Amino acid sequence: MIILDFSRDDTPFTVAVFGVGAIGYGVVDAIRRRVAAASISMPFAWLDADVRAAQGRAIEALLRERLGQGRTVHVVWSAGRSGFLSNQEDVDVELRTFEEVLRTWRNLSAEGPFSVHLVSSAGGIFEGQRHVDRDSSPWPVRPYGRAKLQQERALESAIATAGRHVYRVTSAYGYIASRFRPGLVSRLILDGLRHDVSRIIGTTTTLRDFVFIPDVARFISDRILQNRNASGDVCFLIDGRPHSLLEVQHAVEETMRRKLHVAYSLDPSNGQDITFSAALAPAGWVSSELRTNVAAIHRDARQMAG
Amino acid sequence: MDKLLLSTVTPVYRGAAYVERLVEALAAVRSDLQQSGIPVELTEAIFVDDAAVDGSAAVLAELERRHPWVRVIHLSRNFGQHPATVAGILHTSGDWIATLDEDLQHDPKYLLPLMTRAVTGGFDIVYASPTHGVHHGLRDVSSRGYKSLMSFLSGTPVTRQFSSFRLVRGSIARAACSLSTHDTYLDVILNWFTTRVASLPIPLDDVRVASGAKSGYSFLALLRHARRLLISSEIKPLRIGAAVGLSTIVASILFSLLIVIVKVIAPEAIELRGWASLMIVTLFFGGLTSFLVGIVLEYLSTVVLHTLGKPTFFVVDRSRDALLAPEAAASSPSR
Repeated sequence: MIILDFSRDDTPFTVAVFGVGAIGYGVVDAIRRRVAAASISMPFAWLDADVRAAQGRAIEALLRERLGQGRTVHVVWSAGRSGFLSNQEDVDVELRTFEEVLRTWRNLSAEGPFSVHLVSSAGGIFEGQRHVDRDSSPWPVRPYGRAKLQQERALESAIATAGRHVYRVTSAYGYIASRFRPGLVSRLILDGLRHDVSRIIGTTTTLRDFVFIPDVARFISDRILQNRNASGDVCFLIDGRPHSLLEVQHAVEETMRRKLHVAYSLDPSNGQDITFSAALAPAGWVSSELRTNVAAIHRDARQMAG
Repeated sequence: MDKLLLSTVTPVYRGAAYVERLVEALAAVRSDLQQSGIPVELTEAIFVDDAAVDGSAAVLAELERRHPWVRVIHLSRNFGQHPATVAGILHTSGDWIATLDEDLQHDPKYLLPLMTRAVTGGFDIVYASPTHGVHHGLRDVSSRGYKSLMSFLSGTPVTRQFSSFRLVRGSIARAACSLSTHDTYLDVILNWFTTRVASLPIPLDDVRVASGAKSGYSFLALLRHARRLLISSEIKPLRIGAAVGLSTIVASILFSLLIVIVKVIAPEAIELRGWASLMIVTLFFGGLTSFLVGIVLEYLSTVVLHTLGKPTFFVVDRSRDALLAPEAAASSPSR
């Protein structure tokens, strides 16, 4: 995890980001681009409960000290080792960890200005639903989606509305970096550059809603820097424009001017459409065009490859 | 109850006077479907503001505010009807997509009959076929004539049925649109994905012209439309030209053999020396040139189709049709 200390408009801030994957790192990067921040990296163990408890106490002590200094503390939870295909055992480890840190956060929230930003999964919670709108009900069908919904509910019961920000993010994709799990677009570009076969979960006609990680990171960092109270509404960070997997493949092929080798999964349970009504997007959210981002990711990947 | 989701797409360029009535008609269809218990839901009506010139954008913005199922997309400049339709289709998520013109020529009350026709017949595309002339006589005749000519030249009879009032299976429409380029004719690309195409006779009236207004299409726009159809189609004469060239080569070889035989058996029969050999050489090289040009054009056509992304195959799932027509779906392969 990374802890950032900075001041903005005479307000001293501390931002603790749990899970420095693509989104978490994106938030750290977006904040660093806007303000001069001092950063501390701290280890956070997933698998060893005893080590994790000791690390948790150290993080709690550090955040308590920051609150004692009159700093406003924002915690971003974008951690997670599980994915759509994870089994119950995997997600249970993650849930237990989240509940442990949530207990700490609840204590800290009573000691000063303290907000939690939870990155959740729109796809996991609404899997198999099309045109999800305000009237749609969460109906997760896998352990992953159920765990994400459980995290949201646990946060709701632990932290007061004003300090609780929940972001339901759809299929996220971003720039290629070896330390992050690549989203679909990055995977296709990476495999295309290497002439490898891409294995895709879904069929050519499967519809998904794709969001660009820098857009997500910018939105969350804006919320932190604006330091406004949360309204209690869940923010759907969505594009609102469904893309079939064939369209994404074709966009990458056109950009790379190269045919991709793609093997689509034949398991029909993975091919369900998940789409969202654009009306769900919160004020201030801007989702950039997929084709433009494909070109940017490709250019970046080629520069990295030399 | 699980329902078939229907999306509509309407490109708008000069529709300020009509789109409100169109949305009202769509709202009536939506409400009728909800009350009837028919497993079809009109989930979204997408209007594509193709840099409209008459204040349509403001009208659409108000309609979008009033109806949560209405969505408006604004294009950065005027791209034309086909690109606007493609943009709209790529924003849908319905099982079926209907495309309608802005000017009430396509009455939404026929959406359910179009869907019923598609689902019960196991079709992927159903075009509205006008029961009577839509525009003035000359335009109707020239439009029909041009489509018939293209149908003959491209060898695809379905070209005669093309109409902008169409119902298309969502997965196929989106796949076709994701391959469309600025210059492709949407219906030709749709034909790459399916040959299960039908039409349904529906009365279509050009409300705009009937009310004394100018047609939404200028003569130049119609010419551009025709050109787009021409260059998107695979043209049969390319192959005819190559076949004629090959036949000419064969004929010249046979003719040479005949001359050689005559020269050996009855040399006195050849009265004019040089004419036969000249003809043979002309025929042979003329045929060879035609044949090679035909081959080059065929290669070019293959490259163009490859560039456009013509698919090698496409997998389709029709199993959800059973929601509306269980009997038809049971008798037709779902995938």
